[in-house]
Amino acid sequence: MTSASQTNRSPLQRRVATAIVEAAAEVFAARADGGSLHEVAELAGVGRATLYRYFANREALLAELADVAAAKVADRLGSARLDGVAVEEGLRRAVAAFVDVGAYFVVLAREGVRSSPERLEATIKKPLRGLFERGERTGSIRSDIPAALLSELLVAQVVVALSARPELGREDAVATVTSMFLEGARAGGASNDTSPRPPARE
Amino acid sequence: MEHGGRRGATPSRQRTVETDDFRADYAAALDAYLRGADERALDRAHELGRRAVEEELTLLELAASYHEPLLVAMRAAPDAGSAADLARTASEFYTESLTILETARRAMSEARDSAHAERRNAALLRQLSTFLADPSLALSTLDSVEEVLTLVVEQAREILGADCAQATVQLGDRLPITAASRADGERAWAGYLSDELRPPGPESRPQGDWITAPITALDGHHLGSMELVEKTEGEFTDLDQAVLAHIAEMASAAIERAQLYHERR
Repeated sequence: MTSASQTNRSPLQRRVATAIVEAAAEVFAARADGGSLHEVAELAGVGRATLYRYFANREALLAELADVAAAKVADRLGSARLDGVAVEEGLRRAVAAFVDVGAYFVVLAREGVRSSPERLEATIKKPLRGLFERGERTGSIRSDIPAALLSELLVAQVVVALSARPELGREDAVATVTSMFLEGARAGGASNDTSPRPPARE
Repeated sequence: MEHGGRRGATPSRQRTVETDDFRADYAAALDAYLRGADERALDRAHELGRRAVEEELTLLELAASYHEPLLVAMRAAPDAGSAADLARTASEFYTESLTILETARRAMSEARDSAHAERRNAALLRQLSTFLADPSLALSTLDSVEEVLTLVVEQAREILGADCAQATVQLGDRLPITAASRADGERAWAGYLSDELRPPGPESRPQGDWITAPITALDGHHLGSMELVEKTEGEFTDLDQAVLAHIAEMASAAIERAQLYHERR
């Protein structure tokens, strides 16, 4: 997974930069309040001077992290062929793709809103929206909630599942998010559902 | 360790018994000190502090052991003035018992910090070794030698806690390749490296604390050297010297590999 800035680096520099970006994904994803660059250096096993030589500040590191994350998501979603399968299977594949990207996805979803909304839109939201719009047309996804909002909700659910402690296994995370989401998003799901409900408010 | 009377006790039950025993002994010793504040009674406070450490009592448990008998003694005092005197005397006893607990806690904290630093330094060394052993290095041009040196001096300076690290190699007839990593601010090494980076000779070596290690090819010929200047805390030790030699060896192997590949292309 080579980002634009990686192409100008020597193989050794690419190796070092990758170690730093991987550590940043873990640290930033694990800490909702951010996490420090010192923690990143420590997890990457590089000196602080090395980290700052590669990434002058947090924004530079986040930008490259977002590049790598977006490339990973795009790669996984491309392999998932969302357009070629039924909407529900497409949804499961999309969730599996996000879960596989793991910490990178969490950072992209959390930080991408602030640092690069266009990239977030292109890599995550647009393909999801396409999937939901198709579902609405075919009647497998409820049409009273806009596809854009459904996309936002799905991304948020994946972030929550990936941040859960104790950690969910891959299959558990995919199944939990997919089933939870489909129960709420499926057309006619509410009327067919016979499970117990909390009493309605007076 | 199992005591005869506590055989079979659950850990929490045993801890309660130990804490109760401690409180009773503390109350008796404090009472003895309040009746006649002498050195022997104060030694007892010291012993109780050590016992609190051994029995892993918390500061709160020690404070409770102190406050309860003190309140009893103050209530029994004939007037407010006597109660104040009792409180002053008792605080000497408490401070003595607290001192050793605080010392032990500081030592444990330092040991924890030191263990963390050792783990971190081991991780830095391991990662440096991984970077330098990466097969991609053999496919690099000689430009990578400069990156190898830069990486090596940055990691070495951090691992060994130095103000400055420098490495220089001379490959064939080419100009020397030099890299340096420096702490911020004006330090003792500033005059040594500020003008230009150069291989250190007797005339340019820094004053004060520094260590060096050769960068040597497999056939033994001299490629260059690494220097670390001014240990941030204390002075460089033999262990520091050994670690620097190890890092220089890793750098030597990586540089020679890159050089061999470059010559064969």
